[in-house]
Formats: sequence, C-alpha cells, structure tokens
Amino acid sequence: MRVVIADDSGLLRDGLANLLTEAGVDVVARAGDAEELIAMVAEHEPDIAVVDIRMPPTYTHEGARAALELRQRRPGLGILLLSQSLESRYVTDLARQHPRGFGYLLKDRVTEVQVLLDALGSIAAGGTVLDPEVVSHLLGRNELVEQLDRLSERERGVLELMAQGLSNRAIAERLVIDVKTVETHIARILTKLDLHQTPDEHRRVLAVLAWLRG
Amino acid sequence: MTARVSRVLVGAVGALVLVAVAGALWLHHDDGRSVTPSSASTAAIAVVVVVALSVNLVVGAVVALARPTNPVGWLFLLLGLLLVLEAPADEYVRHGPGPTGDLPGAGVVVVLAGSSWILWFTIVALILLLTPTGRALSPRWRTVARLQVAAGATAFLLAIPSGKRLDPPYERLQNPMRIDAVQPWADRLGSVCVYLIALGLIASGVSLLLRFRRARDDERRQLLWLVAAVAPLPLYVVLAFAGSRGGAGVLATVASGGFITLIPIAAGLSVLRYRLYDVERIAATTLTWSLVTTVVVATYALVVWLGARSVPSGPVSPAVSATLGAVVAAGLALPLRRAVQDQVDRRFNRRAYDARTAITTALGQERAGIDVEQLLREALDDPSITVAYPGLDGEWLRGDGSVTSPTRHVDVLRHSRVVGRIGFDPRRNDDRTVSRAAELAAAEIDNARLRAELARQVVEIAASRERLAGAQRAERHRIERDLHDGAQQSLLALAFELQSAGLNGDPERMRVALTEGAAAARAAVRELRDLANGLHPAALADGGLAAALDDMARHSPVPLRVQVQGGRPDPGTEFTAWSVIGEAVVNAQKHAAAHGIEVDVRQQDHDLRLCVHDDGHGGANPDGPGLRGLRDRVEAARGRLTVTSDSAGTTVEAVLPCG
Repeated sequence: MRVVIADDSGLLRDGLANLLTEAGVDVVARAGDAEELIAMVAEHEPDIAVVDIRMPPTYTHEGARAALELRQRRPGLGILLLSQSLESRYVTDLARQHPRGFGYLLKDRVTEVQVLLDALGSIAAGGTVLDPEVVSHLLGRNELVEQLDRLSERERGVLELMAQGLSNRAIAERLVIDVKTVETHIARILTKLDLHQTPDEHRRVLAVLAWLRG
Repeated sequence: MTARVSRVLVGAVGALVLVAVAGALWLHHDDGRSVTPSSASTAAIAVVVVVALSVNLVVGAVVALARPTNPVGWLFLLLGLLLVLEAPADEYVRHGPGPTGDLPGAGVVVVLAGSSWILWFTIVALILLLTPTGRALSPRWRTVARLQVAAGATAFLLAIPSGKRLDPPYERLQNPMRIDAVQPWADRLGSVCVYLIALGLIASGVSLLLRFRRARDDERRQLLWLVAAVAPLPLYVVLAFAGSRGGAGVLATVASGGFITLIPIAAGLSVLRYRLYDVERIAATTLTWSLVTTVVVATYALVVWLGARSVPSGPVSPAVSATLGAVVAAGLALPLRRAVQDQVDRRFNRRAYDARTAITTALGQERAGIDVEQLLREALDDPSITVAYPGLDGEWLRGDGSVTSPTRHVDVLRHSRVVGRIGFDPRRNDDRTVSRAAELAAAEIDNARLRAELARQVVEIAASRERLAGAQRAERHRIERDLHDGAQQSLLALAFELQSAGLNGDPERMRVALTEGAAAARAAVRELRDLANGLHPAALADGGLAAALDDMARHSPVPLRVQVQGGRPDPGTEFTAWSVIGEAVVNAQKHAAAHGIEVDVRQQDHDLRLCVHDDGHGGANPDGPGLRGLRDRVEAARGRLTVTSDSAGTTVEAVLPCG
C-alpha cells in the first residue's frame, strides 16, 4: 500500500511516517502544506493520502479541502483525514458527501498502530471509517435521545460500529458474536429507526450517518 | 452686538432726540416773530410728523433692545431720528431777521432737509424687506435691497447740486450748492433714481406679502398687521409722488407720513400682540416695575402725609413719618412685585404664565417618575426641547444615556449647582421664560439627572462586560493554540516514536527511543508548566506579588526594576494586580523600545497602588484595544486606571481597592 503523508508539524509527520514504515506501509512522500501535498500526489500517485485537516496558512480546513480537490482529479484516491481536536460536524458532512474510501481519525487514535492499519485497509477497500468519538458525539445529540431509547443496549453498540463504518464481519469480531446475530440486530435497528434495508454496506453507513446527523 | 452696546446706542439716539427737540424749542422761543401754525394744513403736517417720529422711535428702541443683532429695530430708530431732525432744521431756516430766515447756511439746510424723504423711503423699503428675520427673503431680494440703498444714496447725493426750484415756501431761495456744469443730466438721473426708489418700495411690499404667504402659524399672525398696513402701499406711493410733483405738499406729507407712521404702528402691534422679537417679556417686565414703583411711592407718600396730618396730638416729626413710610413701602415691595408680576404676566406674558401654571399643576399631581422633558415640551409648546444632564467627563447626557450638545440652551441650577441643560427653539421661547419654567422643575430635573447618570453607567458596564467576554474568548483561543502546537504535539510524536520502536523490536532502537522519549516527555511537562504559569503563576500563589514580579524581572529581556511595599492583599486583588502589571510590562517590552522598566507596588490605606513606568518612546493609545482591556479589568475590580504616554515614556498607574 502506497501512502502520502501531509502534516505541517515535522515532528508528527516523521513520527507517523516512521510508524507506518515499521508497520510495513510504503510511505512514498511527505508534505508540509496543501500545495506540496497536491504536487506529491500528482508525482507519486499513492493509494491513500493521510492528511492533517488543519494546515497553514489559516489552520482551519486547508488539508481537508486539498484532499477533496485531489479526490475530484483522482476518484480512486483514498483519503484519511487526521486532526488533533474533534471536528465532528465538519467530517460527518464530508463523510456523507464522499463516503467511498474516506476516513477520519483523531491523532491520538492513530498512535495505536492496529487501528491505523485497519482504517487504511478499509479505506483502500473503498469503505468509510469514522472515529468512534465522532459517532458517540452524534449519538449524544439531545434530539436523538428519545429515538435511541427504543434500541436495546446491544443494538446501540451495533449502531455505533455501523456508523464507524465497520462491516458485519468486523462488528461480529469486535463484539465476539455470530455474524448471523449481527445481521438480526441490524435488521431490527433499521426497522426501529425507519431506515431502508440495503445489502450495500456503504449505503448503509450513509443512511445511518444521515439519520444521526438529522 | 452685546446687550450692553445696544443699550448704549439706544441711549445715544435718545439723547440726540432730546438735543434736537431742545434745539428746536430754543430756536422757536428765541425767535421774536415766531410763526405759529396758522393753517389747518400745517397743523395736519405737524400732527403726522409728531406721531410718526414718536412711533418710530419707541418701536425702534424696543425692538433694538430686544434683538440687538436684528437690523430692523435700528432702521426704525434711524427713521425716527431723521424725522426728529426735521424740527430743528425747520426752525433754523425760519429763524433770523428775514421773512424766511437769514442764518448762515440756511439754504444748505433747506436742501438737505427737503431731500430727506428720499432716505425715509429707502429705510421703509429696507424695513419691509428685512422684517421679521433681519435677513432678505432670498439672494434675489437681497439684490433688491442693495439696489434700493444704491438708488437712495444716489438720489440723495444728486439732490445736493440740483438746479431745481426749492419747495415752497422757500421757492425764493437759491440752492447754494447748485452746480450748473452737471445739469441737467444730474437732475434727470436723480429723477430716475427716485422712480427706482418708488418701484423698490412697492417691490418691498411684495416681498412682505410673499413672506406672509410662505409663513406658518405664529409667524403668519405676526406678519398680519404689517401686511394690512403695507397693502395700500402703491396708493401711498402714487399719492406722495403726485402730491410732490403737483406741488400739493400737504397731500404728499400726509400720504408718505401715512406709511411711515402706519408701518411702525403695525410692527409695534405685531411685536406686542404676537411675540414678534420677543418683546412680550420686556413689555411685561417694564409694566410690572412701573406699577410696583408707583404703588410703593404712593404708599410712602400716603404714610408720610397721614403722619403729618391725621395724628390728633399734633404733627409727628417728619423723620419718624418718613422712616415709617420707608418701612411700609419696603415691606410691601417684594410681595407686591410677585402679585403684580403674576397679574401682568397673566395678561401680557401669557406664554410664561401658562408654562408656569402647567408645570406647577403637573408637579402637584405627580412628583415621582415624571418625564421632565415631555412636561417642559408641553408647558413651553416647543417639541424640540431637550433636557440634558452633566456627565462625569464634562459631556451632556440625555435621559437615555446618549450624548448631546444643544446649540441654544439655558442651564438649570439647584443648590447653586448645575443639574441640567435645557435646549430649546429660540423662535418659540426666550432664555428667561425657559429658565424660569425649568427652575420650577429643578428638583425633578436633578432626580432625572441621577437616573441618566445611572443609565450611562449601565451602558458602560454592559460594554465593558462585552469586552471582557471578548478578551476571555481570545485568551481561551490562545491557550488552545498553545496546547495544540506545544505539549499535545510533543506527546503525540512521543507516542508515535515509542510505537515505531516497539514494532521494530531492535533492542538498541528501543533503548534510544526510550531515552529520547523521556526527554520528550520532560519537554512536554515543561511546556505545560509554562502554560499553567502564564495562567496563574505558582510563585504568585506561594510568595505573592513580590515573588512573582522577581520571577518576571529575572526573565525580562528589558532590565526590569521591581519595588513592592506592604503586605499581601486578598488573592483576587493580587491576581488582578499581577495580570495588569504583566500586560503593562509586556506592552513596554514589545512596543515601547524601552531601555528600562520600573514597577512599583505599594499599599496605601485601603488601596493597592501599581505603577509601571518605561523610558521608551511613548505613543501608547489609552483607547486602543490593549489598554482598553486593561482598564476594563481594573474597573471590573472596582479600581481606576490612568495612562500617560509622551516622549518621556509611558506610565500605567492603577489603584485597586483591597481589604
């Protein structure tokens, strides 16, 4: 897997690059700002761009904007956005607009190398990855409390993992239950929340996010 | 022109009039063969002239005193004076041994006096053009006024070398200043000018009619009488000219005397009835004092007379009765003045009387929470009235806390302190009326002043609170950035490094990673400590201002001298003092290009006094966002901040109450 890393902090950029290299990921280039990132992607044609959302000059959403611009030119490019503080609303909107091969994780999450590798794997396969913080933030919205009360505790756990972008198999593994059971839970959740049944996991994430985002 | 100058000028005119009348009487008396008015026509002329000159003088004097800057009063006075001068001139010419007098220069006097009507007409035209504002209706009418003055002056000057026969009864006399060389064109030009004056006079009447048509309400009523007097103006002009051309001097005099009498009479009526030129008040005051004086003098005389006559045991000594009379008269004077003033105002100064009644009634009904501004507006019939109150910084504040500066105003005193400023429309009321009406409500105005002051403070507090909240937001943002860029990043990098080393598994690599990781963790702790120290230094909590400021001095890039006297204040004051000093010192370090900074802290009575002085180039803006924020912080702690900044450096001083 070929990856480009973009972060304005050299310390973090190198730390992340070393970690990925040690984990066997091919880090083909490192960029310090959005402009450099665009040039690097054009030059190296990586599978995934790992991009800090905040970058110079304004430190708002330059990184995310550059990544989406790259995606428009190269629809096959996977994007993993990183940030130090939670950007729940912004990334949920991005995930709904660009669910395919899109991910968002907090930086402290990616210090766990397995989470990072799992996310890269999902994104490379065209899946969606959302940081659990984002999902629990969405689930915590006041408007949803009443509707979520209709779900059992287990069902709520499954919903959370669905929203994070996990597949049925991954959910089953995470919760140590049978895939069949997971499917039953999902069917019941979708009925309770008035969502359409769909075999496609991408569209399912989208529907769940739309429902959560309101 | 000040009131004083105008009084002196009016007095001078009065003296001149007296001199002229006395001169005429003396010449008349001294004349052995004095010519008594024999014919009815001469009597008519005399009556017209006497009425005309007295009306002009009285109206002129009253208007000039009330409105010194308005030329109309002075024009009336000038007209009256010119008319008065006719008398001594006439007597001078008649005086002497000959049938028509032979005194030196009699011819000159005849010519000048005979042409003075040209000046009368010009002055009347100017009065009509300028009444009542003192300004022409428009620039076009100003041109008419200028033409009128030019034509009048030219005609008068050209009459001097005229070759025409003199008017009867002097047809026998020659004009001694006659210049044949300039005749006959000088006389012709003179005639043209006279016709111009006549036309101009009619035009002036038209100007007044236009003014009347455009006027509203009060002004329209003021002008009504004048318009009535001016309406037959063309008739007068035609009659006067016909009379003078046809040799019928009486007709001319009566006709022209008609309007030089009627116009001032009409103006006088307007003035007295409809507050034209605000003479109402002067008339009322004069009347009051005349009545009071009369009654007081009469009382005095009565008491003295009674003392002399009616005591049966023989006459009382004159000294006793005089003293008694004086005491009675003096005791009577003040209450009498009040009673008479009230009665006179009731009839002659209706507006002031009504205003006072309205205010007294309203205050009698309801004293608490009354809207003084609205009350004064209604009482004085002036919707433009504003009531402003003195603010702390010398500005004038309306009731809602907004700043105002009325152009025409009177100040209201209470316990010899200014408590309010009433702005008003001078066309509706004069200073005195407004002032007396406002004094009745002085207590309510003082209350409203306190309310206004409170409102202003509330506005200021709200603004200050807003700024403090903004400063707090900025502060939080800065802390967030500091954390994001500093310790958080170091710790993340550390986590990455340790993970990498763990994955790698090489013992040497792991040893290096652990050593470097420990160093990185220490660096992160240091960053966090610095940040926490910036929020609330540990030295401040442990050792007070002295310790915290010593720390600050040790790390300052600019030499910093610190002096702290007195014990430790309460923690809140201590923290405010520390942050104010910190910000002032940072400002000096960053912006002042200073070579040295001195910090002085001392406790005096119940105040903590701070002073931060630098020897930099000054130029600090006390109203800039930085110092403004500092001021807010000090004022939030109920303290005061003063900033002086000049070429000798900047000094920030704060006084914080403590204990």
